[in-house]
Amino acid sequence: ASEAFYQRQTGKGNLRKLVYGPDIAEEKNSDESDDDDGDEDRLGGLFKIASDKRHHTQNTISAKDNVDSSFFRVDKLQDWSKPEVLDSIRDCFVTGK
Amino acid sequence: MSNNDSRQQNLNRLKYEGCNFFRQRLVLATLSCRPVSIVNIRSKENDPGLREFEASFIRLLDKITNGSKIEVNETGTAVHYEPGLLYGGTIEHDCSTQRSISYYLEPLLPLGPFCKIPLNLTLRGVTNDQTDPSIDIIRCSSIPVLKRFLLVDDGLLLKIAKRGAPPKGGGEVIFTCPLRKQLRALQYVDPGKIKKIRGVSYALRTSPTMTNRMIEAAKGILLKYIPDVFILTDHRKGPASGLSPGFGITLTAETINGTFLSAEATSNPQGDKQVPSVAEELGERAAVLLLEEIYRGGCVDSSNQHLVLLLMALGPKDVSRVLLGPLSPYTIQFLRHMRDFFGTVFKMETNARGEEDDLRIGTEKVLMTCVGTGYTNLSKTMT
Repeated sequence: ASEAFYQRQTGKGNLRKLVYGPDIAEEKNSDESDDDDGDEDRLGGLFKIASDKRHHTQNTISAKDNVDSSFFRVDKLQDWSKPEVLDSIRDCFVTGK
Repeated sequence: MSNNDSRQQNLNRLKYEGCNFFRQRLVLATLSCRPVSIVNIRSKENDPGLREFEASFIRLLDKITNGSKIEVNETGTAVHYEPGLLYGGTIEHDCSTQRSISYYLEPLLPLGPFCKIPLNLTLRGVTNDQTDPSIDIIRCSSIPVLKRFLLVDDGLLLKIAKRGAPPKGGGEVIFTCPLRKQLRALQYVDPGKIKKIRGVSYALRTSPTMTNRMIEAAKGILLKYIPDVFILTDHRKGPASGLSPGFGITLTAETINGTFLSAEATSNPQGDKQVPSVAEELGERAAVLLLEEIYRGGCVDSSNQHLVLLLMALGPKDVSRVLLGPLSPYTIQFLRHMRDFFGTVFKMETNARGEEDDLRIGTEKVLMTCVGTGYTNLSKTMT
């Protein structure tokens, strides 16, 4: 059970769930959650429902008639005048490490 | 019999709602030969139904295919599309100036290799605007992505004959694409380090000093990282500069492995309610957006994620892998659509970075893996 919980935490499953919806993730987890009926399972169940609802509204109401553009728009840019932010991509360049 | 056929078609038909992701739905329908219905397009707005630019895209899609059946209802809130065969050939199209030429060209890039006759497309309209990635981004970073799947680029060309700024446009772009029977599989997991930054700064029907002011401002930020920054100026005169004034800058970071990451900033259109743009601010904005794009990283930039994923899914029955930055909302929806149309499901792994190599390379990357559908060009039976 704890293993399944950690797997959920690591984002691997979450990303899949985010993209393809909860049905696939459930399919994957179903065989794991069969043999345990602890609190974690219920927690997982709750968590799933919540994310499902958010997912649903995102899809059907707000995004339905949005502008069709492939730009990745970010609401808030990072403050690139700060030296530590500038340093965060230093090694992407040949001049870095 | 015909009754049976139509029932079969209706089972096969996919249904969607809303005007968002309009282009990807139609393009995926064309590639997969599945009919699609899109209903409730802006049904709750004061001005319901399709806009001019969407109608224009439908007409362009009709020109490029042969035997497509497109029905739009009276109010324009529903579209039924039964795709025909991809035909290609020499096509001219006047795009609506509500959106830029890239709005039209972007979804056609993956169709190019699968036409019957090599595509020679001339599009007229707005080349650079604020809503879509500009034609420069397509030229600098989308074309190299397409090239990776074609192996040899015999005649893959994108030429900006004339530029045009909104609202009147007047630009002209020529795109030619060679044919392929099949694409190749892609293994692309190391973007490599950035070796140089290139760019284009253009000014249309305004003072040519605008270009230099934008370049100065952008360089001020980018030179902190790398000395090899070179930005071209493209000041056009006469008919090649379009019908409206405007200026902007596109920046591209190139890595040693041939990854191109692009960002841009464009001036506010003439007659807009917003204040006129300042050249220095645009230059700085483009530079910061490029840094943001580098922070996201990956082997293709965020506006090309959907292109590389689609071409991977259309590849041979072999495993393709690509490393991407965080998936954009457009890409996430695109992945869902690809599952609907092709049944392709990607495997996504966030790269677990080792403790020992604490490289400062921005955010977590995602490794996307899929098996191609073995899509082949139906019109090209021989190599």
